Amino acid sequence: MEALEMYTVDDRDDVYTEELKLNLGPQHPSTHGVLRVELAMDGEIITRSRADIGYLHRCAEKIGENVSYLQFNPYTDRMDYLASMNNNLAWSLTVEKLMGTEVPERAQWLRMICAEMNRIASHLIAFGTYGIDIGANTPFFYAFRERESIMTLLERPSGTRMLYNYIQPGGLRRDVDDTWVADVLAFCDDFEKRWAEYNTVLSHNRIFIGRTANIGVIPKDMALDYGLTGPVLRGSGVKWDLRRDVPYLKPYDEVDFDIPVGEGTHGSLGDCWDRYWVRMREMMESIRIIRQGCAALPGGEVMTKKQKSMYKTPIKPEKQNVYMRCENPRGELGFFVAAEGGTSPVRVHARAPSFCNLSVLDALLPGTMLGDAVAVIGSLDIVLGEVDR
Amino acid sequence: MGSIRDYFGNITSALGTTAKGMSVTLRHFTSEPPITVMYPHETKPVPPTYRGMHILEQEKCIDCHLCAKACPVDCIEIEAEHHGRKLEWEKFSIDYKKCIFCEFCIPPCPVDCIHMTSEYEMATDSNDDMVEDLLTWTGLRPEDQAALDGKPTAVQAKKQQESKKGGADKAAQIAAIKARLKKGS
Ligand code: SF4
Ligand code: SF4
Repeated sequence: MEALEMYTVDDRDDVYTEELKLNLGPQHPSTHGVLRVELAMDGEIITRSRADIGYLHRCAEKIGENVSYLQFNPYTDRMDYLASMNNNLAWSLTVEKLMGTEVPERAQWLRMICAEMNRIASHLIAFGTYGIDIGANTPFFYAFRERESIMTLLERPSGTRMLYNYIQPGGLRRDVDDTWVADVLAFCDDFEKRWAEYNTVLSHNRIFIGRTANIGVIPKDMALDYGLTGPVLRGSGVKWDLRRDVPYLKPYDEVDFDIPVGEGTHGSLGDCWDRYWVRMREMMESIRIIRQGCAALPGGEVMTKKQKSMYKTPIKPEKQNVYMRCENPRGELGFFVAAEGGTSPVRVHARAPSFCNLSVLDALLPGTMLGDAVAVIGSLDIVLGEVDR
Repeated sequence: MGSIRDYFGNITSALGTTAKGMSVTLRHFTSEPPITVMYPHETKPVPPTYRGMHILEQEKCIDCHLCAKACPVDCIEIEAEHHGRKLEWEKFSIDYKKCIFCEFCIPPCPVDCIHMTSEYEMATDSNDDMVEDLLTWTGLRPEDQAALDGKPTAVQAKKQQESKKGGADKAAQIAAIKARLKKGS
């Protein structure tokens, strides 16, 4: 894309102001990574904007074409690094669809529990950093405290704190024990109390509402036109969630949960506060799912013996094209894979939710104040690792 | 009139909700214990499944290169000369600049001789130090060393003392260590 050209605002012939070009990022804390937004400013008002991406491009898709199907699993961790479990899940499901692998029942339920825990952790970051964007520091530390509990829990079966590589094609890396399940349930009880605190500290704060309500409004049809997914879409009042509509894991059919959508509580439907509030309520829904999952967790193995042979001998799917999608914390993550019988795919494409959600930014910013631009970017909750891949 | 009422209403509700939030902060400040860990003076324990630096049981390794093949980033380099059934080792190095700690090198090993330890402090000031030769690497944490030597780890020893069995149950001990080193592959 071309750089923005600066025009002259000439209302009168003798007095004129030049537009100011302002670079927001790439090293700016409010852009959540290395996003650079070029802004044309008329005073305090943004007239045009252009999101400049690619600073974190690591050729993830190309790497996928050069490593085996299993070996690409840890690379998906590094795309949306705040929700590694969900990325692993999406890739594993893609490979399973290619191979027609049956996943043991216990693994399916554990996958759901882990994915939902990671969803909470990811939304906690969204909540905490959004507070910082707006100017509230305390919620950030509260959010990180609870995220730490989640990471400690997920560290026990997986062995690492962030880049889990735990959900693998065919099942899970290793099983969990009963104490883990008990600890997860204890965390759920604790988290419920904390969640109420978050709302007192931030959600219902009048200043916070003033900063986010009626800002960055995405109407329903605009959200659909831009192909937005996840909380950004649901914040605009569209009830679309792959977990309910296209259950990609069997347990999602069996557990009971609601899909929070924006209601325009503080003004227009689809503003920053609606998106924020959808995320907050989703955390509670995830807690509900985890509780039901822990209660219904069946016994058995988490990966079949036959499947474990993939560690030694790379799998070779037959020639076919497959697309598989998952509801990630940020929206629909889909993997397209073209296989041609070799040990590595000939084409891998990731439909990254952050990338698609970011596309709406340039339509939202013109007309808003610079301070609100930060609120808008934060409410989209993008992860640049995933945008650039 | 309405706008003036709105104006002052806004200010009162802003102050009110902020005060409510502050009360939560104050309660945390006074009645909740601090959760920070004074690293590096204190460290948090890592689970036995932790994926840290590798360790090689050199005498068991058969130089089959399966671990190197499984590695997605090709960071394991193995060189050994075969003299009949004897091996003369030259090199078994892992480049930690590249390693992504994915654990894919562990399950393929046919003799189960490469493991991941709980060592994660590998900051250094030179690139060369990041390439670790596992044949000579001696930076094991005490608990990992104990597990490898077949001695009870600190936690296990404490448990044994508590149960007052006096460390007699060697088979169970070895099983525990095996389980720890095997880490469920
Ligand atoms: S942990 Fe992964 S990246 Fe590191 S040496 Fe083993 S296979 Fe290679
Ligand atoms: S797979 Fe095991 S036996 Fe083979 S070279 Fe690696 S460490 Fe040695």
